Amino acid sequence: MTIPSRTTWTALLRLLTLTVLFALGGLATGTALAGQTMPAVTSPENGADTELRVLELHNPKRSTGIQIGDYLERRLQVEIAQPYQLAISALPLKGANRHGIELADVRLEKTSASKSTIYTLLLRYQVFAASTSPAILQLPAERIALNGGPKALVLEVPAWHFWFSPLAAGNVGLAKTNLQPQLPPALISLSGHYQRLAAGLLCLLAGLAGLVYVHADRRWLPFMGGAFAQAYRHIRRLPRTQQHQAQALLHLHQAFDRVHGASLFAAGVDEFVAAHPQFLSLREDIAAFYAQSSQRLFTGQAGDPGFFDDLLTLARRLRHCERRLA
Amino acid sequence: MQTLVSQNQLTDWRDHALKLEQAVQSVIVGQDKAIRHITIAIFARGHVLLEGGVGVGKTTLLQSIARGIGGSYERIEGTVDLMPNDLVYHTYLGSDGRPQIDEGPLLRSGERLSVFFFNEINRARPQVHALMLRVMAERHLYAFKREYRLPHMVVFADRNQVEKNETFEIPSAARDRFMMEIPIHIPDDRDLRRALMFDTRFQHAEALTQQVPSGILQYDQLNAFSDLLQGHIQASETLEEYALDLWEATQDPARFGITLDSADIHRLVQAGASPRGMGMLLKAARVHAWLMDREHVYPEDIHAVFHEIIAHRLVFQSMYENRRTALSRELTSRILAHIAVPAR
Repeated sequence: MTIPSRTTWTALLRLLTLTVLFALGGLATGTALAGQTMPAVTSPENGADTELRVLELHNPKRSTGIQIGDYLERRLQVEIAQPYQLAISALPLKGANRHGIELADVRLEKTSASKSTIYTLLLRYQVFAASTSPAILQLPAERIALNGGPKALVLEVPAWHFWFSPLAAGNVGLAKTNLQPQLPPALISLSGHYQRLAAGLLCLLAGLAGLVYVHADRRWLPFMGGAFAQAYRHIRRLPRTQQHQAQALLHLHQAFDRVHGASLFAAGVDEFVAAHPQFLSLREDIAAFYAQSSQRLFTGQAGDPGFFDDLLTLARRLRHCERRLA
Repeated sequence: MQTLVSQNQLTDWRDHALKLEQAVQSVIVGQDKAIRHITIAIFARGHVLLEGGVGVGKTTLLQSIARGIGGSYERIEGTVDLMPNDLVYHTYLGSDGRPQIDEGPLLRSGERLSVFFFNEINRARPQVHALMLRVMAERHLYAFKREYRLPHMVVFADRNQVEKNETFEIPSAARDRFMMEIPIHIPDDRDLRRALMFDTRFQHAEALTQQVPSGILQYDQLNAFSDLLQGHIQASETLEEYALDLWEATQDPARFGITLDSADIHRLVQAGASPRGMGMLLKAARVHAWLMDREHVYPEDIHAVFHEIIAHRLVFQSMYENRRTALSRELTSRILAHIAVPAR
């Protein structure tokens, strides 16, 4: 058997208390309800029944679960023989508050007959009682004096009990005592997104760097200042005239010489591509360039109209080989 | 019309020159490069120093060349007691018991002399060198009270570079008279070496020489054709600039950033190539361009003859003379590797 903890004992004790209260409440309610079924009009003197007769007494249909602010109505219909009459001034005062039950409204209607008058009295109460636990309250008993006759007749309306239910169960204390440590809201983890973003940005940068590396004419990156890249830039800047064709050829020759580490001539093309395999795919183009260059430089034969375009194309392809893109 | 005739002559002579090369290459194996250089020297009308050991086939090569170009072939051996007179005349007792005098090897063939081979020229005394160099330059000699003209003669001289005893080194001024110094080495190819050892046809030099058709060229027309060739083949201004850079590099290689692994470049060269040497360089380059069927000289034409024409002209400091062959080869190679076609 498990020994209950102190918290469990406290809960059990509260449950037992509530059970007893409900039992007592049930008894009290039963008493109250029993009282409602009984005639609620009495007279201090004998023989009052002939002058005053209660026709109806309607109490609220619900006697439990009444909460603060609820309206409760009692309707009483009595027949009063003449010359007795129910004076308005004898009625309970509107606004009277008794034990947290305030009389919110009082209405009286009367119907006259030949020997009697039928009065319909409407009492409207509003509950302002405050309690932190269920409690038995009551609509107060009323004593309404009749006048006009020789006897002092009093209409007594018995009290009506009901179960008051608090809006909040238990003891009302400071909110501070019930405060729970507030946990910060669970944040959505963004690390994965940040990682993907960073990876994406890296890919983007790498792609941009690659595009720059492939296509850029200028020396934007440290490894872009190759001999053929420089030759391409120099040739592109030259005026496209016959006089500058030789200079353009010599720029490309200088690039070959720089890469080869020695002066390169047509006879050394095979040795060049063997020593620098990145240019192997352009072996025929290089040989053709040397043949064309020799014709231009050493025979004075002018290049064709597309000379500069062809030379720039070759220089760009050589630059690609130099950057190991081909 | 004149141009067309010249063009035809150039083509015909080139065909004959290439035929001569092929004929000589068929009997002298493994010496294609030397044969090409000798062909160039013949058409550039320049004299040749031969560099190489003994028994590599120099005599057979020259005899084959002489047979191919026609004319006469003469030879003399350089010895320490050789006197200039021995080149000019020869004395002997005739059948009648009286002394007889005949022309020596230099004059014996007269104007028919096309190839004169001076074997081991550095064994001969300087007096002999002086006579020989004068004949090489003037191509005529006064003897027997008359003038002997040798207009078609090309001199091939061999230097014994192994032995130094009883030798008289040819001074630099004398070396400069030779257009080329052509190396003739034992072939590296193993199959060729095997053939030279075991193929019996290489054991009979005379029979080998006879396999070369005679008179492929007409030796007595070579001078005129050489002039035609030299006038026809052109050199552009760019190439002239390049050749000038090469010349200056032979005089002051350090200025061009040239270095050598085994010598101090600042102290190596005492004198570079001479104007005559550079003229011969362009002359030989034009012949090479013509053989390559071009009408303009390319740098490759200069490269083809650069070492053979320049190396023996370089004058080194005496401390480097013992390593002349290796150093000159290294220097000329470095010059060609460093000097680019100028961007001017």
